[in-house]
Amino acid sequence: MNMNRLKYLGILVSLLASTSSPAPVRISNMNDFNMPAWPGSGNLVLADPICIYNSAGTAYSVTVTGSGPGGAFRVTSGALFINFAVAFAGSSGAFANLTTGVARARNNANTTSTNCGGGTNAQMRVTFTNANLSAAEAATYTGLLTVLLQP
Amino acid sequence: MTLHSLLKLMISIFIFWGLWMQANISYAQVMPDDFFYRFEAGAAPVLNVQVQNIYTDRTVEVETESVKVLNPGDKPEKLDKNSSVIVSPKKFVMKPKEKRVVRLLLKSKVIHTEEVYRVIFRPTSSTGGSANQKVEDGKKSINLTVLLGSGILVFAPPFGTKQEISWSKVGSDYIIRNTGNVNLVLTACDVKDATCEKSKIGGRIYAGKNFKAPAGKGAIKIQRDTFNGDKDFFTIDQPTGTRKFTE
Repeated sequence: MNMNRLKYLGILVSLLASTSSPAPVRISNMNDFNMPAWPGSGNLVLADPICIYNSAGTAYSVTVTGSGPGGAFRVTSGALFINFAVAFAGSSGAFANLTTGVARARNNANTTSTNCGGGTNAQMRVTFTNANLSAAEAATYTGLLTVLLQP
Repeated sequence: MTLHSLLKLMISIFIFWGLWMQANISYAQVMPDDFFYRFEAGAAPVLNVQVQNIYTDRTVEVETESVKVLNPGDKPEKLDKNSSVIVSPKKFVMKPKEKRVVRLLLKSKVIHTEEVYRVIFRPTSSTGGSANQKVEDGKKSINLTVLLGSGILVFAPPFGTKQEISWSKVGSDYIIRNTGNVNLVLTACDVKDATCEKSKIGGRIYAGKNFKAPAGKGAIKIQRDTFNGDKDFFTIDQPTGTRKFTE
């Protein structure tokens, strides 16, 4: 799914607050979004380009943990659940799938502009497969993804 | 249209409508003001770290964790949960846009070599925001909340801090070793470069560790980034040598 299209489709309900002074570390352009609907076929892909800024260097690591058993990437509704996959991409745009709780090193933080000059240099992507969505019963599923950025 | 086809159409619409799924993602983010902190050798073993709830419309619960890095600079890192850095408060709630100070206390003296700790600020839940919308009963919907936290590196130097490197030329490379007892941020580049900002050779070199840099035409430029943000440059052109730094 085209990421730019995704942003336009989404309802941006919260824009990042501007800070009073530039901090040595900043992540910006993380916008909430509501996808209009999954039409009943195909994968549901949710992604949002972001900017990672670190005045002290380009290196950082990202660790993502889900809220399912053992940190599984899963949304639940009581005993019902839908598994999903998480991937992360640097500025090259090449996504690499993440394993829950396992740090992935990156080396592309922007060191000069707190908002990447208005651009982005990373993306996190969440994918619900058609098979998992089709098999899911009607319910409201909720879940958490905890993302840790570390030097 | 026959009754049968009308019924079929209605069933199709019903099934299609039932399949529609609303999917929402909302974020909560807690960030410290910096990635790197350092206890001052010989001073009170206390550090203040300012963290901020970035968002304007949601409250975030945060848990902290402190671990000791047993093998700084090596991959994979070995972490010890018996950390000597106490974080206070250990858990806290941050209102929208709130900034607060979290205090780090080093409870043991560092004797020989700098100790390295990671302190993690992990959001555990958030309330507020408007992305998680309720949908009609009987439909599928997904509300996914992304909680974005951060870890910081904390350095605890020994009282007698020694900042020093030694180098030796091996073939067409220089091997540059941190022979002091605290980490140094060193980058190597060609002597003709004004700075080494664009070079990827080097990085944070912990005590006892080394890195390899191509000698170019027999010499290299080294950029040292001090902890308070200053930079200094020097050239290495001797086959072996040692250099000391004060800060």
